[in-house]
Amino acid sequence: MTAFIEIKDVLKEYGTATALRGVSFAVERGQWCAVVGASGSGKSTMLNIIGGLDSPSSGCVSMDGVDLCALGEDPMARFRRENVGYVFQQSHLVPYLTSVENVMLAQYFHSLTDEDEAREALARVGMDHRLGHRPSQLSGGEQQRVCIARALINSPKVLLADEPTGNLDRENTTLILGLLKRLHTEEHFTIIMVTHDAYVAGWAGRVVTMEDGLIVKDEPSDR
Amino acid sequence: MVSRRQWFMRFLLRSLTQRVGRVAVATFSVTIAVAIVVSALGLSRGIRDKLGHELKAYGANIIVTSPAGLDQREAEEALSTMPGVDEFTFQLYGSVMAGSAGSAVSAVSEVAAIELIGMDIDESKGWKLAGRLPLKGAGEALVGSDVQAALNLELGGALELEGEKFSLVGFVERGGPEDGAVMLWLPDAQVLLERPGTVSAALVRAEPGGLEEVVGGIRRALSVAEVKTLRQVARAEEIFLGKIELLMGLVSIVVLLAASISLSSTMSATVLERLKEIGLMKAIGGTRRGIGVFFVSEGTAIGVMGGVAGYLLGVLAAMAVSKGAFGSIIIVPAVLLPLGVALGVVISVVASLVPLLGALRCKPSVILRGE
Amino acid sequence: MNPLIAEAAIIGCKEGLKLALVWYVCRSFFDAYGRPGLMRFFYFGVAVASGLFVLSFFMPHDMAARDTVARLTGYVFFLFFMAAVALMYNRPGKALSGVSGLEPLAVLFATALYFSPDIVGASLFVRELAVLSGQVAGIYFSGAFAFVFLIAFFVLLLAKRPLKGVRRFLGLAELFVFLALLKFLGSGTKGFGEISLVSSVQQGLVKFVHDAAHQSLLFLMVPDHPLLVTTTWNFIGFFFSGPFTAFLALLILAGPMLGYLYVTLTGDIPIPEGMDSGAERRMYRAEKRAFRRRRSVMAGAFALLVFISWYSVGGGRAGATLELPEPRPIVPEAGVVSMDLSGPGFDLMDGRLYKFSVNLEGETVVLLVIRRPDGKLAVTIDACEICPPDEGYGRSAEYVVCVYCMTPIPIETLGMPGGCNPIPLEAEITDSSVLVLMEEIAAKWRFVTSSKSKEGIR
Repeated sequence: MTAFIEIKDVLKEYGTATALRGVSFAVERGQWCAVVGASGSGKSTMLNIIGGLDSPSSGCVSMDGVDLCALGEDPMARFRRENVGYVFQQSHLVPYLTSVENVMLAQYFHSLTDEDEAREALARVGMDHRLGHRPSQLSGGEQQRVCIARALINSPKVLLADEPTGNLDRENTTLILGLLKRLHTEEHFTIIMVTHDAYVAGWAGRVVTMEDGLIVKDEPSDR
Repeated sequence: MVSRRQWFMRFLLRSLTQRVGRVAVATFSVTIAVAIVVSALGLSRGIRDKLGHELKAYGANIIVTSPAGLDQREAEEALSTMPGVDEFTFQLYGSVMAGSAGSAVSAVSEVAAIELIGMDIDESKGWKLAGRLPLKGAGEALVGSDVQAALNLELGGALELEGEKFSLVGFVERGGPEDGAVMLWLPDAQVLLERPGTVSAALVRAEPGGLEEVVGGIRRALSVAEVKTLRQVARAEEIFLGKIELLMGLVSIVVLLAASISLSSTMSATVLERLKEIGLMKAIGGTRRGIGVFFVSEGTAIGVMGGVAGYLLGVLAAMAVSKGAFGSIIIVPAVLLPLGVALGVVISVVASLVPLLGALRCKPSVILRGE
Repeated sequence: MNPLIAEAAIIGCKEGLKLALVWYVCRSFFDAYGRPGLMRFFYFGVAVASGLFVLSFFMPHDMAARDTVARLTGYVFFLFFMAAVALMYNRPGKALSGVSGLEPLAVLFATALYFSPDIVGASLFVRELAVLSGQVAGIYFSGAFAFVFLIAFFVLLLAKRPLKGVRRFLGLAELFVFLALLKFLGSGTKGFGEISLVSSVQQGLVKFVHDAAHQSLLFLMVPDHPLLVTTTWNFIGFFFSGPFTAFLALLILAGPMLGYLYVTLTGDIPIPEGMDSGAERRMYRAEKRAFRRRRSVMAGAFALLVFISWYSVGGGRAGATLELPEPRPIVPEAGVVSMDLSGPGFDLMDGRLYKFSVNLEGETVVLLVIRRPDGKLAVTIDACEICPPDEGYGRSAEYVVCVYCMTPIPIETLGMPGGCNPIPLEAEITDSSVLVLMEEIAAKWRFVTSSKSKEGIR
């Protein structure tokens, strides 16, 4: 039986530069895993490959028994919308849509839209007072909370977060991490989170350290 | 619960209303392109109406004209004694300044240059007539339906031509040149145009079998005149029209090309600007088709708006040009509205499709990395 | 090549294509529902139809026979249509369920029924062609060859590739809709008129209503004719008039399909128990909806086709376009062309535009006849002195319009000479017909053809 998420001997080259040099790595269902490392260590690339936003030069990736490398672009998109939730460092929101509409966009691509459900999802991240606001009217922390609501709306199997607190102050960081913590403990979400911040990594159950395209350390966190 | 389609429309509306500047620029490009094509088509159609059918419905088969005008008495003598001639009638053409006078609100509400036809108005010639025919020498005028609409005239009102008042007793509609003209009895027209005893043309009906002989006879009798059978006139008009339409067609094609190029660069800029959005949509599970539909719909909406605006602008332009060039107003047919809209949609969608397809090919990880 | 031989080949192609297409869809359908064995009974059905085909060679092939076959085609279409509707509106049982012992019989019967009238009709048609052309062997060969060739071609092409996604688009009801649709298509757009309400049925109904009313009034000893004046009868007649029956047929054929579309596309989708997450519910709903949408495709296509043919038969026309009647050919007798004032389906005095074509020394001259608003009949050549005579005139609401230059001519001025007006002809109008001398036509036709400048215009 293979692990829930498994990548094997993944090599990723961008032209002459090599981002990943044969990484193998597995995550079990319900784990909260932090990937740390300096900038350029290949941690974001690995996350993108797990989420199917990028494809490896060689090696293979599987999630829940599905070989992601075998999927074409549009089947990959379909797989992604049902199984993967994304949170980016920069809260990528569509600038001319309100919070609710941004969440509904994910519903639209997934299946159907349901405004009430989108409102509920925003309420779950404590954003019920900012439903009709556009991203420019929201603070960084609030934008990131909308992103989390959007990532969760389609009940994905895994939440991928790329520096989710990278642009936030300590207070907002704690708030966002608290949210992830709740998801992890109460709803048993599998979370893979990329960060360069030891404090942030400390919240996860497992910390994987990368250096120069290779995993150098993989250990349970102190907490 | 919001249905998928309603959501789609909401998204489209947001994207159009929240990015007014960009949308306006793109719409404007479409507008200009459509306007120029519509006015070119409208003008060539209008010119065809002006030239074609000028005389066909009068039952004449020979037309006698002279650039300087014909002497009415001389022509009358020649034609009445000519064998083979069944009937003939004289007409005098000119252009006058007209205004609707004495209307309740303002004395002279509108003034426009209008075509004038002086003729014998003793039978309705199959016209669709509202009111009655003017009586000879009573200072009464008959007005074509286009003029009526353009000047907003009413039956029983007065029309001021070069300062003289005529009472309006009837309106006619025939789908021919009379629709855009004012008709007076020949003597009235001669006085008004200050050309007494002169006519522009004699319309002659001769036995169809011996047309060539009659033409020869008239040529000999009236040496200054140009005598043509209606077929020759029709043929010359066809050739002339063909040339004009070719020219208009070429101009339209060039304009369309230029507009498409400028539009496609505008659209490229918009798509590039929204590359992040596209990457994001891909990341949250949008397929290429699903995302493409948004942008193509947006292009369609811009095309429709630009098409409608372009049609209106084109109509105004055609009116202005025709007023300057022909001294009368050409009405652009409404058929060009759907045509203009279709044209707008096509150029707008094609222009946005090229950069869009490129953008859809990009990997989301590459687009979203920019930090 | 003899055009009749080509026609026979086209008939062969058409029947071959139909058979191949039905074979392909049915095969894929039975495969998809796990009953490939039923295909055997399909072949038996085709064999029955082929037997009838052979038998048809011993049938007389007169007009009556062909009329009967055409009517049978209509009835068979209607049977399949009704079966489709019944299945659509009654879906408790799943497709292909029911008494399994009867299924093979049903397939056999349906197949034989489906193909018999077409194939017999085609044979009658081809036989008539053979008689007409005198090239019996050539006609038979070309028809049969085209038929066999097309079937062989498609069978070889498609045998290895069963249609994918059959179950997504076709249930049993949708299969019947498809079969009815194909039959409808096969009969062309004219089929609407023929298939929808067979005219004899229609006339029978009119007579029945008339007689019933008449008899009951007689029974009451009320003299009905002073009571029910002509307008009343006309009013009753309206319900059996062309436009009304066309509309009724539209309703009968398209109505059930539209109703089905409405019910499936707007109907509620109940969510099964145990779906907790919103995403799951949404996905279930979206998939169900997509399924329903795909299953509606056939009904939608059928309704669309019915609308198109209804429109092309003339049901939806509001006089927006030019009326351009086909000229009826007439043959002069003793130098005189005679056109009947009225006859079955036409009346020269009804204000519509009528055209007749007559051969003048190898050239076809078209005559135009119309009643003017003043009640007089205008008889002209369908051309003027100026424009080329290719297309002549059409009729719009208030004008007769020259098709070449689109000049509108007021109808009251028809019969006047000169200009853009059609060249008038001297005609004698008797009680029953319009008479024109060929000499007169020849003299006036010269105005159309004589001029050299006319060639310049073209």
